[in-house]
Amino acid sequence: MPKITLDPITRIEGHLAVELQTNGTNAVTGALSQGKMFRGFELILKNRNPRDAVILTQRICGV
Amino acid sequence: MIISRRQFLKYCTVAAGAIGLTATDLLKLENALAVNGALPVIWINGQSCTGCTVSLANTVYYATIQDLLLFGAPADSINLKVSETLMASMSTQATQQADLTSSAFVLAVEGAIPTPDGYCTVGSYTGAATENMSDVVTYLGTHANCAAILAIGTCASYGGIPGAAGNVTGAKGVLECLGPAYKKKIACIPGCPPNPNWIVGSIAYMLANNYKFPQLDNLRRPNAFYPGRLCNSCSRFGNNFIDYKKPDDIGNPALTDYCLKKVGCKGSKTKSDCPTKQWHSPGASVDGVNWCVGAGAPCQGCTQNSFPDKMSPFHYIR
Repeated sequence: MPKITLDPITRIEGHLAVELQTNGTNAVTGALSQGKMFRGFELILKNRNPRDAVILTQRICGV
Repeated sequence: MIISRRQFLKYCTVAAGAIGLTATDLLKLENALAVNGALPVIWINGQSCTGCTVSLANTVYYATIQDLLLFGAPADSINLKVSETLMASMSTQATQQADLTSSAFVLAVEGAIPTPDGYCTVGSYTGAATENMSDVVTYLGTHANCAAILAIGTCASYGGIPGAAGNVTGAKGVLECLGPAYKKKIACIPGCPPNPNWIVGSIAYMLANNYKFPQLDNLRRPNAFYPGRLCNSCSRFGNNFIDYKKPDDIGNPALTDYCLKKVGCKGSKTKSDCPTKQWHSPGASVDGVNWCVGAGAPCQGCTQNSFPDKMSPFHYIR
């Protein structure tokens, strides 16, 4: 069944790809979405002064 | 009444459905909205939080975002050909525009670039099914038509928080990603986020000077916006200290001009124009209304290449 891949999705914060599975005619039969970026804040926070956590995690999202 | 780009595009998208306008035509509309003859800018995001784009969208002092993108004179505007956060078209319509790199453009990079591959991928600028952000930065940054590269924000400049100790993604700034051969082509506008003035002011200088960078310091930052250590221009320098040994002083409204060095302010190690030009400018050419230290928060040193690891701990309490 034909697939439509949309990568990147725009007008959002972050990186997202969507793959639509269609029946070839007029219907979407399945959809998979994929986050395309990883930073690992939990790992970065380890072994730090706990009071730094607020300062660092606030940068997870800038919107 | 100025109609916002968002409103206009919303009408268009709704109308497009009604009159059968395709995604390709929407892109043509986008291009038509862009100012003719304006400097093309390709803005790509790596491991970013999008704070730099949001900061840009709030520009007021040098130009509003609508003037910068839509209504300004061509010599004062940019043609933002790609911005994953702001543009209407998506997928390969956005990233494989036919004339994307056919004439001179400026590459703006926001967010860090991970190595090894796989931690930040996008489909695609070169025509492959999907590619790593490092491939995109290399493809666009080393392109013959790339006139200059702006590393926007501390992440793109020096790695920033994604590149902090403990990260497994090998996050790097653009300088490190492209290497010393491209150093002269890259200017850094660090900050977490950078003040919109620093971004727009640097672009304005380049527009007025044939894409040349303003004078840069040893970290490739424009001297005009990162003139010296904060203490040099801070109104609290030399005053008494707020001290963690006297916890009742912290937040005491009577002590509004006390120096914050002993509670963690990194202003003595940080360069920017925050104490004078400040933040949240209320109008064209009007200085901002406040800044971190002015609001009682010790400076985090976010414009430095040592942010965040060597600026930690951010607050001293004992």
